[in-house]
Amino acid sequence: MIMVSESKDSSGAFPQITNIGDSALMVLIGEGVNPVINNVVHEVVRKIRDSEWPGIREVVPVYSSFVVHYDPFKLSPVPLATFIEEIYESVDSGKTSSVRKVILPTLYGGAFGPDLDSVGELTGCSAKEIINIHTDTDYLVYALGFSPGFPYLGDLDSRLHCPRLDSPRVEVPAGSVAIAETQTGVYPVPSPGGWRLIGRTPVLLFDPLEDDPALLKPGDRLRFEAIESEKEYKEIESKCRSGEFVPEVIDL
Amino acid sequence: MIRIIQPGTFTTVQDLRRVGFQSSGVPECGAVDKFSMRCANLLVGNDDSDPVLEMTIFGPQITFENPAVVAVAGANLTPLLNGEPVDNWMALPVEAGATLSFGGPISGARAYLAFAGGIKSPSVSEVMGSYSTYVPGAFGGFEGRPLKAGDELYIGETNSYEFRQMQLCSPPDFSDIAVLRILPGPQNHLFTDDAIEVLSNSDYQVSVDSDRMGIRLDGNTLTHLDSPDVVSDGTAFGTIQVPGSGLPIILSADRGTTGGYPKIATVITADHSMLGQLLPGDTLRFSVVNRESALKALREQERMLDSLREAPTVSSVVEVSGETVDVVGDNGQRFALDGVVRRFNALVKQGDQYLEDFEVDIKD
Repeated sequence: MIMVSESKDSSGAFPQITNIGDSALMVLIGEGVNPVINNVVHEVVRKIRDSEWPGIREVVPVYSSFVVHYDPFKLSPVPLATFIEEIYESVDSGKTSSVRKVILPTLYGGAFGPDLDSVGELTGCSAKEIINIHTDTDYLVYALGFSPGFPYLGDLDSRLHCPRLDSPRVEVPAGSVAIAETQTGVYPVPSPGGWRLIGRTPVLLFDPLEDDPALLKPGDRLRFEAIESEKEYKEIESKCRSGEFVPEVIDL
Repeated sequence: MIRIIQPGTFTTVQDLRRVGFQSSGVPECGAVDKFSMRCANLLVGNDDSDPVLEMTIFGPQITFENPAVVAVAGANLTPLLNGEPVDNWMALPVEAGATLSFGGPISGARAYLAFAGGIKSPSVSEVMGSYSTYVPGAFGGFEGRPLKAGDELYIGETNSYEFRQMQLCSPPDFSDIAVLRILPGPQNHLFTDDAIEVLSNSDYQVSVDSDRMGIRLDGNTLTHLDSPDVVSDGTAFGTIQVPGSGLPIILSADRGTTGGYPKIATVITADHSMLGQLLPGDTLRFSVVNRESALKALREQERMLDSLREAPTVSSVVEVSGETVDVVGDNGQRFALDGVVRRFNALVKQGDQYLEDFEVDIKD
């Protein structure tokens, strides 16, 4: 029996499917920020998209939930929820159909990572240690949001946890690699920001004029790779702009 | 081509919405008041999704290099053609050299200016499948920004376009206190039991911080049961999220694709248009409805748009014989006038004679 309620039921069973107004459903797959739940979100979303069900406009995954926008003249919530539940049941939570790993060359410190020193003071790590720790993880891209192409990345090593800046910068340059609290991220477009900047990538993460504007996709893994010099940064930057350099993407 | 003499407060190119890129963090954008925007397009014979100018509070001053047919719909910002007042909600032929300007807001916040044949490349091009301007991201529409003085935009050539010389019988009225109909959820369980009651029994004032991203409200606060933070999740047009302050924010066209505040309720689609017409200081109320009435209201809007779509175009003929008035379409088809058409002042035929500048009032 599928219930589409105005609010989540108290049974605690997942998925919990609720109406957001008259043209969207919120589908909650689990609680909290968790890679296993996030993987199920992406698997279910992939299958819904592949189904090309008439009337579904857009499916938007976030951490542990996704939103299905639909045309209310073509679809009703109950059959849609039934369909989503069937897809959910068919997904093996341990399985991942395809995962990409994107390598982002990053120049740490100096003018490109002006907060590397303060992170060192706050964490007690040397610059070299910070770089080693930060480049030693495949970060899960839980979702994109906040601004176009901005990845919500998982699980910064606890040795690098440190508070946000006391006063946010008015403009953080595009490509800035930053950390704050338990998170790390990279700014695709210039925007205000209060995270600590430890480096910068010359790779363009968001280009509105491309058919596929965002380099990263929800569910990807992201690995930062240290580059050695500003010269190398500039070389990659100019090759990126001319199309001679594309960041390495590995299918796992 | 048109030339922008004065840009107005905030004039951008918008179409219906950008679909398919919210997963990449790209907001859907598009006209806030889609009903008015679609009316403007249909009045000039365009597809209802064609790009238009969205004008905010103080409209632009525009000169026309070529003859054109335009329509203004939505807020009454006092449209003036060569300094003379003209009506909203109807197609207007414009001569070469004419100036369209706006005298100031009377009711509502956003008006939509559609050009027969649309706004053309290279002035605008599709970005991620849409002509809508996203100003914070600096893409879409005209150079990804609001128009400024001196901008020139290519618009459709009129000769080859038909338009609908008619008015909406009962256009929306933005001068009253807005009542926004809501469906509770998806997270009303994260608020105290009386929160929906507080929301629907209070007057709220539109805050000055409101824009295309959202409408911030001042008024009675709503109480969260627990923390005002949730794990970030998706958003929809019209979702009412409540941050720690307890004051509701209604999310609009340029809203972020993810949000981390509990969402108590969502404004029904039929009332989204009103979100585009609220001015800082306006009072609004919420009224809880069910899905059935939400869809009924939406169907009524679609019916009004359909009647515009099916209305005869300017090359049609009105035959006057005695008391009855028939409207005949291009293909000879006779149109039943269902009360939506109020006035028709195109070609009028009496017997075998065409009458010029003849205006027919059709009784509802």
